[in-house]
Amino acid sequence: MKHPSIDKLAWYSGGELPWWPRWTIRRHVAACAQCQEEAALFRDTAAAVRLETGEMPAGVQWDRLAAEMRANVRLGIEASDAISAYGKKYEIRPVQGMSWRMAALTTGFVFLLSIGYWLNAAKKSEQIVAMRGPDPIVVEASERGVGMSDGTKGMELQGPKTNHRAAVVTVSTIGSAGARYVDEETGQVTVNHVYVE
Amino acid sequence: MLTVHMSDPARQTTGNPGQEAADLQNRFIQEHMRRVFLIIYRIVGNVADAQDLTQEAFIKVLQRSEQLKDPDKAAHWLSRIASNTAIDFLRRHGRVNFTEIDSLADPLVTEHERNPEQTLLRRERAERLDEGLRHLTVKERTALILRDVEDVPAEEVARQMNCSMATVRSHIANARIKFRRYLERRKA
Repeated sequence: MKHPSIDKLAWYSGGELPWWPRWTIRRHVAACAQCQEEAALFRDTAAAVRLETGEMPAGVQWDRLAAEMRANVRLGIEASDAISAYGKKYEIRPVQGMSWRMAALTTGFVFLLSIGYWLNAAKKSEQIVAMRGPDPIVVEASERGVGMSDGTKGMELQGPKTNHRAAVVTVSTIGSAGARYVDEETGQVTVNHVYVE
Repeated sequence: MLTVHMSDPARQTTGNPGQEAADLQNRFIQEHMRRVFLIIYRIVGNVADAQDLTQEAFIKVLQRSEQLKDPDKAAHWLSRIASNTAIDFLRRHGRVNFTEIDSLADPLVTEHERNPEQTLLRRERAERLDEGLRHLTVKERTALILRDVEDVPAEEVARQMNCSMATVRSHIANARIKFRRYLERRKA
């Protein structure tokens, strides 16, 4: 007589086998004292595990532990409720079930707002042009002298008229212009500088 | 004909929906906490982790309080959450750290444990179980607890443990064989 493997007996005792192997093993076990004993041992073991796992681990003060866990669970739930309530307060809800009238009204309102914004923007750009004022002030330096003008009026600081030539003419981006003149006979240097503020 | 309606005082409604929900939650915690703690403890093997994970499992379940309307389904769901929480914990930490019984401070002496003989017997049984479980791998222990203690069908155990049915059957068989041999050795 061929005995079933110990794995199969373990599954048989726990009811995990499909019906056909279960039926064949049941037939064998019914006729085999050794396998009956094996199967009974597995059942006893399972019963012992079930019984003993119901016991609280030795040394655990269950009442106190349970009270502590209950309090922590309540605290956790309340914290979770508070967080979800805070989330709901600031959530943007999607528009649902909007009627066609509401949709038409909203579209018209958005259209009016767009027109108003466009007209206002055009007016503002005209105002900016009007506020821009006269042409900017120009400073310039040449052999003749250093001057500035705003398009309508101007002034010039003229350099020496005789025996002079401009040695260096400078223009800076911060709004200044300068010219340095050297007298060919005396070696005298004249520096003119104009700043615009 | 006179009809008398009897009502369960524990289930009487207060008329305040918030209070009723809180009462329902408290009853649910009261009824299942011990069972859930023990499932998790037997899987992770130590009291401190089991305490944290039990709390975590209850918070997960009670955040969806609409699930409590059907007590049987809720209990089943809670067991599943509890074992999954414990399995996830072991996956994350990859360890089992059995609490040394002597290291637990201030052991409880409850009313029914005042009898020293009974206390000793209980302690011996708990020690025997802890030691037996220590001979199993994490997967074998988890499969054994879910199948033989929680009576979860093998297919469901496979789903929870995220492995095939054949693997779970192998874990279950190995666990039973090892535990049986352990008990036989102890008897001998």
